[in-house]
Amino acid sequence: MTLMTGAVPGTVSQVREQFGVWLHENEELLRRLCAPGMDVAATFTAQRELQKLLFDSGWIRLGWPEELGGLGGEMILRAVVVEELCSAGYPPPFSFGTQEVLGPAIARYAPPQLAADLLPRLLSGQEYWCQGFSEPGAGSDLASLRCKATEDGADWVIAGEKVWTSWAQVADRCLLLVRTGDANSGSRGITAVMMDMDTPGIDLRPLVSMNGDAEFCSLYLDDVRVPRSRTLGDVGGGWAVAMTILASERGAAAWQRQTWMRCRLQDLLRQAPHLPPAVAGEAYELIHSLRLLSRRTVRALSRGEDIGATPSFDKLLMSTAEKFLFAAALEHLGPTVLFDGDAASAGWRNDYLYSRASSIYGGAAEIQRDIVAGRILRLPGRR
Amino acid sequence: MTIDRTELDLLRGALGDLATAHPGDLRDALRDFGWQDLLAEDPEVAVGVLFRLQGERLTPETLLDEVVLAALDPAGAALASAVAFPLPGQDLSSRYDHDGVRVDGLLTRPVSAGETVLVPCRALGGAAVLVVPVDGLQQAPTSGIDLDRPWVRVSGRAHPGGVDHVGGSDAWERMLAAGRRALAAELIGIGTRMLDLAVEHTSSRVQFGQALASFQVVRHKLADVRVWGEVAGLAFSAAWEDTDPLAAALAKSAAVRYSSTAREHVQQLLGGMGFSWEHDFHRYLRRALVLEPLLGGATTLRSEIGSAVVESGRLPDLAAL
Repeated sequence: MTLMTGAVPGTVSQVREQFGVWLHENEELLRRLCAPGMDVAATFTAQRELQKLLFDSGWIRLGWPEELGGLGGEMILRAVVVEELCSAGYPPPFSFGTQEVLGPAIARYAPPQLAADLLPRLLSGQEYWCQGFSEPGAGSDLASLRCKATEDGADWVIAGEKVWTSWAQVADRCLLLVRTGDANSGSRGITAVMMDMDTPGIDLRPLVSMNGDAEFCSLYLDDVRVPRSRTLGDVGGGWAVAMTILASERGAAAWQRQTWMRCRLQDLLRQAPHLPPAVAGEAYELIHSLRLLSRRTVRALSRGEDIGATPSFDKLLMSTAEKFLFAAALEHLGPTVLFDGDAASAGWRNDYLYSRASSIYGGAAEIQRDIVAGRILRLPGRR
Repeated sequence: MTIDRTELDLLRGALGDLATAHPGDLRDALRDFGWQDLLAEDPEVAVGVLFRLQGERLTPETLLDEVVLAALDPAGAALASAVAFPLPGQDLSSRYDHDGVRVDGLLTRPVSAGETVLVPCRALGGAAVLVVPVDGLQQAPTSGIDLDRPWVRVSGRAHPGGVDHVGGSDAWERMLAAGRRALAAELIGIGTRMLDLAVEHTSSRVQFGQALASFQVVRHKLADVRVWGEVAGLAFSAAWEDTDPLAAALAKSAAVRYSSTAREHVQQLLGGMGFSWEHDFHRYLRRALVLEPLLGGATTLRSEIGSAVVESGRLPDLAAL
């Protein structure tokens, strides 16, 4: 079953039903692509294949404009696809998150021709992209970033350092925030550009995180030339691009995270028969809370409505639910999970360790609380 | 029936005015207003608006009995005039077995002689909902932690021949869900009012040359309270889209998290002012301490939700896209 332009299911329930049939037809292939316990290289190969499969059959082209390689319709249709995939036992790969985090910003801010060229490459798994936001001196205070871009003819010449860039070692391109204004221009002097990772001058060093993965990288940029035609949005308008990306991460990508947490809770219920009911109930309650928040965000984004500061709620619940779930798993799965080398135990340990970062990445919990206090409660600031 | 934002605001205003004009006889005033008809037509709006208001205003009267009776039967109000709620923190404290009927419950107000009360009981094989004449029971007015609502402890034995059996476990499950949704709204009202008190206080009070609310530690506590308020509001709405009683348990659980976080943080941020008798804070705290465990507190609700999830073997598909 392949979706065609002009014959696209228009409602959530139609997608749910038709995608269910497709899942059934492709069970064998999906099982192979989503098999647990693959190493990083195999995981990325498999997720490219899965992206291509879902792109070619049309499912993840739902909700993207036709001129950008999509099939049109509302973005909520894609959220159903991820949910159904996950509840059928195929957890969404990392690249699914990336397409939701970076895709909307490209669609909105890249020059139309560039967007039409690039977006299908991301969606179809032909390419993998990373994002260059944080710097050694600019984490929570992102607007203080210093990575400098200078105009030189038709190019930006970029020099500086980026850190915590996920999977840069396998990425084909990087959505990079650079300073184009003067050193004190703050959020007004930032520009977003799309940098090819094979450009000369990029030095990349892995940064092994505490779960043992070399997910993160440091990027050292030594006069890297990026065509100015690769600028996203206005020069000096990078902050708006960054905010779109962070809103997508706190909103739509949180929906994926929630579907995944539901699967992991289900696993936990199976593997920890002595899990106290009150703990199971609280885990469900917190995941359900995230689901309610993120469903609202997905619906609003899908209708093109302004979501204001509300994704900060979503991000806070995402980390609260994730930390609770995996702390519960570690506490109640018994000594196996602490000591044994089997894939399931290693998975729980990894997810627990990774959950510790959930209140740090994508805007730390403190930043989210600042946003709620300032923009929602409108508390007075410092004099 | 769908109601737009303007109509909702009008309804809020009208019920607010009613509560101001009738501090001692709100139930009668609401009956004349036609609130019961609204409850039948659009229960989400009727319950959402009124019970938030009850929480914000700390009304002495509550229409919790009416909501629970209506869930038993659209004509539930004709069966009894009040409900003997299970004692807070206990699951079905009244009993109905071979020893007869032993009532041990809580009334939201004194019940006049000659009237009947609805008593949910633990019975052999589940729950039983009985209509019991109040005359053979003892009513003891309470003078406990909630100063503003005339809670009454009701207890005593009733002869099985003198009671009507009007429902079993299914009926009680519906009544419980309805009561939890209403209490969730009331707790949201209480939490919101407590948060407002803290926002007003910390925004106006200056220490170390700065408004208290400018200090990050203060801002973050208020933000935490606000987060749970957002969750509780969404969980309340979601409890009307799924008929699964779990949705009502989740709404109450979220509301309890909101009010209990508010109690804790707001008390601290109000400082000495909030510890004074004169300040309203303690009245909200006191009401919350009774409503939170009524029909299931945090631990009870979470255990119940957890058991339901474990027993069914799969996560319920609540709140579909």
